[in-house]
Amino acid sequence: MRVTDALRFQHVQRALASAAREHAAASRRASSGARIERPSDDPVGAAELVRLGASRSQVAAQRDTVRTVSGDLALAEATLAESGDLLAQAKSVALQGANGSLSASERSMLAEQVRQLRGELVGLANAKGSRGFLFAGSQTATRPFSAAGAFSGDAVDFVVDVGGGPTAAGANGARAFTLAGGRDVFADLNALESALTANDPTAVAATLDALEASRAQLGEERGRVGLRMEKLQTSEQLLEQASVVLTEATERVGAADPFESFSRMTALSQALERSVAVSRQLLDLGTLWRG
Amino acid sequence: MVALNRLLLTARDALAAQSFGLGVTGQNVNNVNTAGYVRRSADLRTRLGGGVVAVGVRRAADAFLDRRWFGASSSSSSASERQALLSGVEPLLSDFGGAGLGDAISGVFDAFQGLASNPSDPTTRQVVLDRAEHLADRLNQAADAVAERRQEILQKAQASVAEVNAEAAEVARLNREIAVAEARGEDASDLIDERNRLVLGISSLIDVKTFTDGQGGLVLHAAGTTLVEGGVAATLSIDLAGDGSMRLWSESSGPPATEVTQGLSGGKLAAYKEVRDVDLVDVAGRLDQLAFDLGSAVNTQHALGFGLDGVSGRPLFSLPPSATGAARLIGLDAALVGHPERLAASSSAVTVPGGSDNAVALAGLASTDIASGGTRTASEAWADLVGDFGTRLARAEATAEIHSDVLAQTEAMRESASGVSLDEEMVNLTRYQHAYDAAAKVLATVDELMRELIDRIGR
Repeated sequence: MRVTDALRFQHVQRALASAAREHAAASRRASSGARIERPSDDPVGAAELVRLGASRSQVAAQRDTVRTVSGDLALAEATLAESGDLLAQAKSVALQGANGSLSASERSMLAEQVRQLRGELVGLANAKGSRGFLFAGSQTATRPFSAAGAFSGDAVDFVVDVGGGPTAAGANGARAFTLAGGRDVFADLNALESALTANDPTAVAATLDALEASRAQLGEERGRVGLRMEKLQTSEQLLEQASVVLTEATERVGAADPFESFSRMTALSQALERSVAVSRQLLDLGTLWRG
Repeated sequence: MVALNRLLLTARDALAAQSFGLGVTGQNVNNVNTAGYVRRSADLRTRLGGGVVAVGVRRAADAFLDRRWFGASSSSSSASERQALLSGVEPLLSDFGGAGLGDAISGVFDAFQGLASNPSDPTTRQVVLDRAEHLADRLNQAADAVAERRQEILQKAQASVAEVNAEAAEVARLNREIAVAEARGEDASDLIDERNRLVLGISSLIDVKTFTDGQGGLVLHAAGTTLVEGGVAATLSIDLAGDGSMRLWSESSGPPATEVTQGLSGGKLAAYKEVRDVDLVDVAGRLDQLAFDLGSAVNTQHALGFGLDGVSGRPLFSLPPSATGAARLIGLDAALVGHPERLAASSSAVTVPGGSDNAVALAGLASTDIASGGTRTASEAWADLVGDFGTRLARAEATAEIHSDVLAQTEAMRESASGVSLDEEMVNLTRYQHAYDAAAKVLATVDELMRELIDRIGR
């Protein structure tokens, strides 16, 4: 094969361009740490990265939901516990009031205590969380209990989906405080107050079972809230694990191995230097013309 | 005396012939870097009586290699142009920086998730509207960018066709001039080189096949039709079919023009046709389908729910009636613009404002097969598009590299046969110089002999 000057130059140009191109790509990969910077770098990996990105985003959003909802559930659980304590106090008052030796004025004072307890319970039942009134069902913007304890909310459960399908994630005020749960807590307190005001120890004694049932009702709802919190915590743990797995998968698919990248870049730097040196020698040929 | 005179004439002819050889060598040296230049050599012949005469110039051309060169140029140009055009579109689909369409899709579903956890919060509701609008904007931008690329490619194709027409007319003119020069017995090498340079230029724009006609003229076929024959060149033109695809027409010696689109198989024009009417149409179609599928699914679910005002049946996105143009036309529904309270998070009017079940259902669409005929989630459909485009470009890059290697190989073969080697020319220069020196010496010797003869006779 005849080797002309143009052939020699073309060969040098192509070899240098190829070496420089590979070196630039390796440098870019080593400096960015990314194995895939564009879909054509690895089409299958690129599609996988997009899917992983969507999954990571979804998991992050679900974890946000867990955090938001957990705060409200914890508040509801504490509120229900406090409400149960109030009912225990009311039962204690009822026990005192059932004592036949108490005078009318003493029962009147106990009735006043019950009114205060009811007021405090109304306050608790109207507690607010991050999305409105905690015990109002879906009517989160409206105060669910009047001063007398009349309920204007509903029994709709607040639901979220944090990975396993729609799940209830709130406290149900109707089931905790109203007849929807079996006992109307405020009606039971009202009955106690009325019996005390009427100075009727027999009637006062008759409220004891009802008050206990109301307290148990609050306890049951508190237990349900506790279960929901546990379920959310389990979901949070699963989501955290999923997040770790997805992050690792993203790294595995999309990140360049730093040692491999660096050693490749070093090898290509040396190859480029050799290519330049050889090119210089090739370009120095043409001795006949130089005499 | 007669013998001396003959020797004198022979030496004169030798001087002229070697001088001619030196001239040809100089011409080669001068054109060592001229693209398409074919090395020449002096054609020296023995004259009766022992003299030498330069009868002309021989071009070290190989018509077979030239044809392969034009073909390789067409293929390489087509492949590299397609790769370059697809690379220009790739940033639209690169979704790894956190600002891509995939993130916009996830953003909407994440916002629904947020709405489900706090359905009455005005800020959360506004975030949903912002994310939905952002998604629509991203789809609009992607669709507009694809449409702009298609328009740019059409303009490039029109410019290329104009270039082909101009160069084909030049080839036809050179065909005429070469025929005249050869008929007069003149050296047409420069004209032939120039014609080859033009044909190479045309071959980078359109597939080219060359052969010689009965009179030795060059016939040029392109896109399956005769582009140049003798001194006549056809005219190519481009228009758009009813479906917006590009059509190539050829008109020779007046109307009617013939459509030659199907014959287009190489050069940049083939790349323009394929990228514009196949690759980008596919991308645009899939973007439209994704926008339509996603928008329709969200709208259907959203319409089932109730806003804070107790109204249901509202879509979230405005969409065209079919997938055609959906990516370009999708937007936030006018009734929702500026009205976050109209977002339908509750599935019943009586569970407003705290009901979240419809928001939960909307968020659940992220994991539902709502795209690609109900076989893929929206994010998966987008990932499929990204992956398929990446595959397409990776293949185009590999093809471009192969064709580039083939072209380089063909160029090397042609260069080896027809190129100028300065070392060779140096040897030739020395050879002609020595021959010239020797002829001059013969001349001097004859001159001396004749002088001596005249002197003796004169005594």
